[in-house]
Amino acid sequence: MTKYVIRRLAMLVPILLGVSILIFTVMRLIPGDPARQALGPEATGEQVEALRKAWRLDEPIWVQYWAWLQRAITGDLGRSTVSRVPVVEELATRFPATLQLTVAAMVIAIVLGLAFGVAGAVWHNSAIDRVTMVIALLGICTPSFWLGLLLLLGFSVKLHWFPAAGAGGIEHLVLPAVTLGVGAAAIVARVTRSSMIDVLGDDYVRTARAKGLRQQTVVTRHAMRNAMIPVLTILGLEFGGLLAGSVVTESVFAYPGIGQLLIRSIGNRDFPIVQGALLLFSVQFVIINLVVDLLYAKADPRIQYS
Amino acid sequence: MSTTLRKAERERSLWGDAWRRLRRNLFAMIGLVGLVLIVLVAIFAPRIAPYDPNLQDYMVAMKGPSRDHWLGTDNFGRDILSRIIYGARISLRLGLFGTIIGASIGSLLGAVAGYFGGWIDTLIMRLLDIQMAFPGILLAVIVIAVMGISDVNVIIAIGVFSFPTFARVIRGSFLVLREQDYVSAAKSIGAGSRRILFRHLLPNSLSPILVLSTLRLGTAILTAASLGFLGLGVRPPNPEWGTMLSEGRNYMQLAPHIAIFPGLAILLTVVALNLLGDGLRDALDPRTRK
Repeated sequence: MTKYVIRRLAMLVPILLGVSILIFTVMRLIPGDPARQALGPEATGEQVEALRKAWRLDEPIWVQYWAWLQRAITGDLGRSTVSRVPVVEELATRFPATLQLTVAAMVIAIVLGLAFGVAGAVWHNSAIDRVTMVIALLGICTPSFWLGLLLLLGFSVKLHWFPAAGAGGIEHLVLPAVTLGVGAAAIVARVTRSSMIDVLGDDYVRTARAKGLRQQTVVTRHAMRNAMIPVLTILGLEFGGLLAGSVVTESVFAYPGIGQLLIRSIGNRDFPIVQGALLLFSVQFVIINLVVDLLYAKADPRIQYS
Repeated sequence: MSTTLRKAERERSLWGDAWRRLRRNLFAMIGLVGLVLIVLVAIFAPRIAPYDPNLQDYMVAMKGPSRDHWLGTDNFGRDILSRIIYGARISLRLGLFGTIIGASIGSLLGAVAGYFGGWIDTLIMRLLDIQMAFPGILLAVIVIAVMGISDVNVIIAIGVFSFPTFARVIRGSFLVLREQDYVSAAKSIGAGSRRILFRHLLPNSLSPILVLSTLRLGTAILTAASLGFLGLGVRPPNPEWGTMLSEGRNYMQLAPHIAIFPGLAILLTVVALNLLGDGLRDALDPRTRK
């Protein structure tokens, strides 16, 4: 197991390097001088020239990349061209809000997804199954920003149960988390249902029933644990989807996270922030996938990490 | 060959079998009829739409649904139904072209990776792994951030966002297909790689490509709408559904219908595509065949 963890960690290096090369290259494709963009329109020609030298912009692209990577590793991602605040500081201020939102949405996706999926499988081909799957289909097809606006209209504008915008206490988190989590819940429900239907037909489930175990025990102790492997895979992928989806949800609820910062920075052409935010999103996703891979062992001891 | 035999042979063809199975699937037929209707609405928009989609009439601004304006009017007094009807053209065009780009590039990459294997496969798959680090709409956002906001760039963004899914699925399909006897037979009579790829393997992968394209078209339309909502897609006053919704968000308290109806149009289109896509998958997947 330890060997496997080390190997998986080692595999992160080329992927993260690839991600950094991609982001660096993409940012260099943007027309204009990065030094001028970083310093803003008020900077003098000398200042821009000095930064160009410091960043080795007059040297070949791989030298520039190496210099950029060295700075990035030490946490120097430059400064926002708008606020002049260091990028890392901007990201650090907003990161907790986005993480909170994504985790809350994930909890909603897991709870609703598992409940709907298991219900659909246990009562396979019944009215409950059909209703849950229709709800799941709607969950997958509904644009999250539209759902967010409807929730705002219903629970904030009309009923005044939740605040319409901002971040802070749990009351600020409910509507954005539901908006973000529903789509993922629908996918989790579909995967859970089909995985549970497969497992519930297996011999050991029949044996468990023949022993006279209660339905609840058969489902929770025997079937669910074995049905969780595909669900775990999809949860890992969905976490990435939620991170990306936070960009849209934060925009609906004026939620002060990284997603909102990213969209605003694209509008302002504040590329150091765009670069930093993209880097943060991708690193998070790569790490989450590693964690999911490691969790497989917990769910299924048959998996050999050779 | 007798007529009966020819008829029987026709009935047993892959597409004939699939069509019969599809026709028996109620949900898939609902999806198909819905999609055909939306396409017809888009094609005949100038004949169907009751008003010019950009005609402003401040006298009736932000009015709810009425006999004159079935879905009400927006903050400029424009008829929402007419804008949704014209919007179908934009949303379908963005989704369709984006998906075609994604399907073409993705299928080609997947086919090459799956057929040749070895270092080519490893290289393509590792590149796709890197792409995987930019989940969901993030990749489309990056494309717009770099290339700027325009209709063409939205299509490119959707293409870039879609091609990895096609590449993975087609690679999987080719890994299985390249081991088939007819490929060995083609090789033994001296057929080159290009001929085997395009004349033998690709036609046999059409069904997964078709199923995935239908499902991805829904995702593409959602992506275009999301970009529009974020202000990174089609610019106003063009009536793209996501852009309309974004314009309507500021009037949720006074005139919620401005945002509700475009959202409903997106939802219904994506539901139709998903129902049809799921039905096509069931109809074309050999594992579900009796």
